[in-house]
Amino acid sequence: MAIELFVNGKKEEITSSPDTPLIYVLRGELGLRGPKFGCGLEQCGSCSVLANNSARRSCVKPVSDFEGQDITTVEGLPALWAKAKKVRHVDLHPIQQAWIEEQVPQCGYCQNGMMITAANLLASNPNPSVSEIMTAFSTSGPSPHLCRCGTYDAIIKAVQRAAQLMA
Amino acid sequence: MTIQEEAGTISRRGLLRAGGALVVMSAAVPVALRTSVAEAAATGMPFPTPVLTDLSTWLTVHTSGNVTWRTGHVELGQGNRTALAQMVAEELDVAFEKVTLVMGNTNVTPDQGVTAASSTIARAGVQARLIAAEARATLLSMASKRLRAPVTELSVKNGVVHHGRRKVSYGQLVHGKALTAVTPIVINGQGTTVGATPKPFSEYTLVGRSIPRVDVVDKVSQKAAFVHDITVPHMLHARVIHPRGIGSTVVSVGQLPAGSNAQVVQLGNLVAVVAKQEWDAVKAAANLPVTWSDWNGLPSTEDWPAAMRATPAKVVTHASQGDFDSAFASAASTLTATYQTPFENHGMIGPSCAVADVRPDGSVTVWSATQYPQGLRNGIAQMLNVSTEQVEVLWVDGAGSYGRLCSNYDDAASEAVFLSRELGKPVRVQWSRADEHIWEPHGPGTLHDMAAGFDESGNVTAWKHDAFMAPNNDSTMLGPILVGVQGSSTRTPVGSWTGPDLYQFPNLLELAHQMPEFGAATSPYPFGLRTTFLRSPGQHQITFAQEAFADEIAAATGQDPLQFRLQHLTDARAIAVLTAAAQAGKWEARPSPKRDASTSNGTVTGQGISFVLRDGTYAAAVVKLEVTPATGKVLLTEVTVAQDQGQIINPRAIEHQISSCVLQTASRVLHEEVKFDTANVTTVDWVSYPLLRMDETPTINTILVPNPQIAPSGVGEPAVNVMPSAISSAIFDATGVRLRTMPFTQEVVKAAMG
Ligand code: FES
Ligand code: FES
Repeated sequence: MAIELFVNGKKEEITSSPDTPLIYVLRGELGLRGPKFGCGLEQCGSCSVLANNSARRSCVKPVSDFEGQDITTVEGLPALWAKAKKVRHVDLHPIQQAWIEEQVPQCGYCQNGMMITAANLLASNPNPSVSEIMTAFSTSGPSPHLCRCGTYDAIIKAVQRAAQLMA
Repeated sequence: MTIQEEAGTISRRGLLRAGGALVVMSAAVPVALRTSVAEAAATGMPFPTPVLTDLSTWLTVHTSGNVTWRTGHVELGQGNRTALAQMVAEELDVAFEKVTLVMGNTNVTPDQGVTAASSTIARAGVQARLIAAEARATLLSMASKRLRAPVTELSVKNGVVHHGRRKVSYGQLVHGKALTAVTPIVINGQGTTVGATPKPFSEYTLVGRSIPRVDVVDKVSQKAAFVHDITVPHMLHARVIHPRGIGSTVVSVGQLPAGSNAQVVQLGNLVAVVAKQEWDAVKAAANLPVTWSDWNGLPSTEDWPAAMRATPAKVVTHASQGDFDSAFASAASTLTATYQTPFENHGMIGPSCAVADVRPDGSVTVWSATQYPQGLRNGIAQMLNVSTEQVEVLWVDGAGSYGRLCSNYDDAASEAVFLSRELGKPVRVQWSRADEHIWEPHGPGTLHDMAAGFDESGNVTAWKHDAFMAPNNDSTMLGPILVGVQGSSTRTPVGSWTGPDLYQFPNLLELAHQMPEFGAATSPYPFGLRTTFLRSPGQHQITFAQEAFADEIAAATGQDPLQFRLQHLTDARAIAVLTAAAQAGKWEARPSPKRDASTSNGTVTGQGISFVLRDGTYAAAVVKLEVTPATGKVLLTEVTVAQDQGQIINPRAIEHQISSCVLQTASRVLHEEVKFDTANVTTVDWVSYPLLRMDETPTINTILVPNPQIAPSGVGEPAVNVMPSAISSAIFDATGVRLRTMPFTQEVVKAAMG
């Protein structure tokens, strides 16, 4: 039986084998680019997605673990915001807007995971302090979120800006 | 400006296959390239090389007034795409939004060398500026004929040429046709010469502004394709199973378990599994039994410094003045110390990845995040033994590579071409995290023997820096070597000293022992523990030893580290950045260590200062940090960097580069070390090779010292160099303990505190 997922608001019948880690399904079968392969070991955060509204790594756990869940990748963040605000369409989630205003990305490879974890944090803590932001990205998940390009300070500013935009 | 694909950026073979005969290329493609692909293929030249001296290679002015500008350099996440467009738009007198850049596509972009060493603005950008000025002069001469007015009476605004009330736009003048320079462009060993003179900086309206980066919106909205996102029809996913030891060769390759959907490919020592679904390839790679020969040609991590000293090396004198030996022998007092830097990772967050399509007629298309598309193109032509005109390399965004894909043009691409040729299908190779950690060409480990002599009053009379440097320019690509088509190397990589000396000491001697790679002598392959350029190669290590030792001298002679530096510097720009950093970083003028460094929360605090001149850019940093003696934890609290890079192209992009240097180098200094046993690297993931975490981020202050009359120099590397010694000196200031071996991990600091 095909595994059913709801990905960025759309129902998907998955044909990949059930032991396939979620990231290969999202990227390979569904053609999404947001979740990035960084380590395949839950050690870097670049593959993060929201699963039933909480940030999860997609690179190790098989797709069967996510059966029936709502999966949101960065591509789905604008729709998530539109739904929350009860409007038809927005181009960008305020987190993405804040990421642009703060010019966060250098190479940009890790930023998918960073924005997902920002969404996760702001959902439960709409006005986080700097140290709460640091904790969310450093010690709250299976591993710290890693960036090689040195964007941590820009991310901290962007999370605070996103909090303002979402208030 | 948006990042659009112009027709010429799509593989012409791809177009041919997709749409049948493609007879005439878009006007965006230079005249020389506007032949049918079929015609070109018939002459054996499907992918001719763009001609640098042809103005139409560089730009196309479209009827709409939009300008396509082509550059051989690529965006590595540092904002090159935006800064180059700013420089070009400025010189052409068109709006910034009108300029679209095509980067690193060997079919259409000129070869401007490798994107490395902060060279895009300083070299490729300055070249683009001259050629854009020539393009403007060419457009003005066309306008002069059209408007029947002398060039001297014309003015340009936003791409429209005015003469009194009459006007004509660039688009109307050119409407997409190729431009021929009024004065021929000359490019030779002396550089680039054009007839036109670029604008004086006083007339700049775009250069110097913080224009937002054009690639950021696409990266945030996931519209940007990384090389990892490239898929082409019929593509197979490959995983390469790399040798167990650095010099191991295949003894035997077993079979995949029954039911595997993957296929095994063995080409000499290149062992791979391929499958239609990526996960099938990943599983197969984990399950394929491969027996490798034993090879144990490396010293272990603990032994490498002694092994390095015992290895014969060529010794190069970097600088010599006066007579160090006799000055040192007759000194009233002396000071010696040895510094050590570890082997390091470039640490791309996305592992190596490339897609290659080698077709039956021998033509090749490669998608790569290489830092040098033209170099990779030549390399691939050589390894496949086809002409360069048979090969196209299409650069695509990648994970920040910091030199990893620089002289080492792309291992994954070099493996993918052989697999694609063998299988007759496009092949995507992606490395595992362990492959990337083990097999990337690392940053080199180095040793530095420092010695200084003083007279009775504590003046420095003698200075010596004797460096032992593992290579920082390995350029091997694994593919052809594993396959066995490339045997012994034509060149031996060496470690080189980088960086000038600004301190004035009467007797000075600087030596570089250029070490070979560990294991190279006993490996069947033409490499050992591969080491290559890593952000500010050579100078990062040299500056650590030089600047930290300067601090040791200041401490030994009871001087304020800032004053000590200022006394031995004569260069006004050097003095200016140091003074600016000290002021903004609230430098406390006093000798180190601090008398009472302890705080009420059980930590001790300290300050450190450092200075560098890197490729024309002056940078100085003040680091403030706290150390927790009980745990050994070092936490940077505030880092202030003052930098003079001559002309400022985009202030905000420069500030982000400085922050990037500060955080990346803090990571290198506090956490990073590649470890190995006698067979291979043993730091295989982010747990065994950790990076800085966000909760270690200091407050970062940046001061850009303006110097608009001086040509712009690089900003991607200078601030890297000032961090190690400033951190070492700040730890000394706080604790009285001088750390000379990087990294300063918690364990190291705790042990040193006794
Ligand atoms: S790729 Fe999933 S945590 Fe690194
Ligand atoms: S922006 Fe390059 S890894 Fe984070």
